[in-house]
Amino acid sequence: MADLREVETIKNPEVQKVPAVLVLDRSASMSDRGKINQLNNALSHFKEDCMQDQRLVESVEIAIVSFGEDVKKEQSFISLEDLTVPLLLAGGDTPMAEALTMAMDLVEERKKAYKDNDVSYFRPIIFLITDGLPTDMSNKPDACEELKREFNRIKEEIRTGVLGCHFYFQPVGVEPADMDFLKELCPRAEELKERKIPVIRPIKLDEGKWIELFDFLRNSMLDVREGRNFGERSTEELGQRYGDGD
Amino acid sequence: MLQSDKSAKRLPYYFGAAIASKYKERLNRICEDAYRYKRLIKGYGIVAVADGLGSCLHSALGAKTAVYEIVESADSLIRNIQEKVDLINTVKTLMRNGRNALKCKAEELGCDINDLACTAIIVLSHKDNLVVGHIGDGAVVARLSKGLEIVSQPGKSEYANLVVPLTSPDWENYLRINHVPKVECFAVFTDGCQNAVLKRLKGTFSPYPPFFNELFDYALRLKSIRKGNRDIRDMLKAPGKFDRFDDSTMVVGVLKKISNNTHYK
Repeated sequence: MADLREVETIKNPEVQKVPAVLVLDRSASMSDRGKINQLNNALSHFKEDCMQDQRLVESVEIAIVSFGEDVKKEQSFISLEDLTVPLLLAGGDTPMAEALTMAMDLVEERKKAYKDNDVSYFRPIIFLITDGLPTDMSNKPDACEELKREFNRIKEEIRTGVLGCHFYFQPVGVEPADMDFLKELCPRAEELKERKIPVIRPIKLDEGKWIELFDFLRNSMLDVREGRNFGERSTEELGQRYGDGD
Repeated sequence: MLQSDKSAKRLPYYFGAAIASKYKERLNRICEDAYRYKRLIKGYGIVAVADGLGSCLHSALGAKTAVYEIVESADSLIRNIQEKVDLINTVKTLMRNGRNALKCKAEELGCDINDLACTAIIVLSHKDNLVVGHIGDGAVVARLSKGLEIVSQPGKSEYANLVVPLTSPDWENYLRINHVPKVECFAVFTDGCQNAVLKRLKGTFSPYPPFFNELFDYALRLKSIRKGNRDIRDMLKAPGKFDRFDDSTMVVGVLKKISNNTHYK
């Protein structure tokens, strides 16, 4: 053979997967100021936008968990091509703990499926968007013991998951979300820095910046696909990183 | 890549290329892979390939620094050794020297050594004896008289991009050394090439014969190193062949030919 360009390589080589779970608040307060409509629009835009990039089409797998009057697995892990964007309706409470538990379970199940099928993958992403305080857990001193226990459980599971490099976690707060609460849900910056893991700071979303938020998510997934860490991008187009962390 | 002799008449000879991902090309960003090779005296030869970790600030510089130091150290060590070279210990020394160079560079820049993080593969040969030192992903495949063999596998990790780099404080625990005699030719490449040329079964890789047989046949027939470099580059860029979503580097070395006009000096 004179021309190495003709050399035969493996057809349809394996593509490493980028699994991401979107954990989306659809509680009653999300109907205020059209937030739920903006979220729905942004989700559709997100899919269309990602479909323009072959790198994402080949590698990204999305699961969606929503929480409001119940916690619903809107979508198990699926490719972008096959993703049907759900239409979320606002109503009910904010069972965030249950939703996060479902998201973490989905991540572990997906990793097991990848391992069983010899598929290589990048560290999964859990991306939480909420506009309020959860109703099934609490970090307030005067809350009932059950809610405080549930908060501690979730906080510890997230801490273990992030420190153990089982997943990336990025919370996003939409007005009037309690950003202090979201910050307390994240592992401490000192612990992350000790292990050279990127510090997590919740994003406080500026009003109306939903498209920009999902652009950030798309670009961050690309970062992961290209071997960089999730969530280190600037958020100045969509809001502020909350908390010191530096 | 330094060879004052651009012909492929003297053994060992090498040729190779590194290309940036399509995404980096579009944005005019530099390739974070680096490679260097050199034919040394007395039938020795050295190849070093490194892949800068994308999440680290100066990883491209780290990869360049590491391969430069490894090859220069090899040249110096081989020149100054009077007796037969212990290839395995030499590879360990070269890897250590590469890491020390990263430490010095970090001090010079006033940054953390981790900002220069990269993987590293060293292939040191004497005649047809090959020793590979390997930290991180990428792989080395060789053609022996009995056929193709993967001399050094990509490092195992849960995630596709999670590697232990040369800058890791416990890098020595992750250094894999492999010694293979009677090697005719070999290819060393970064992870950007892996999926296209290695088959994977339950986490273990094996060479894809149609690719390597063609590549090594080509290498054995090669007359001009410059042409070889160009052809490898064109191959890595050819549509539908390699993962253009990642930087890709491949260096091929020929250590032995069965016949005609090639020799060690």
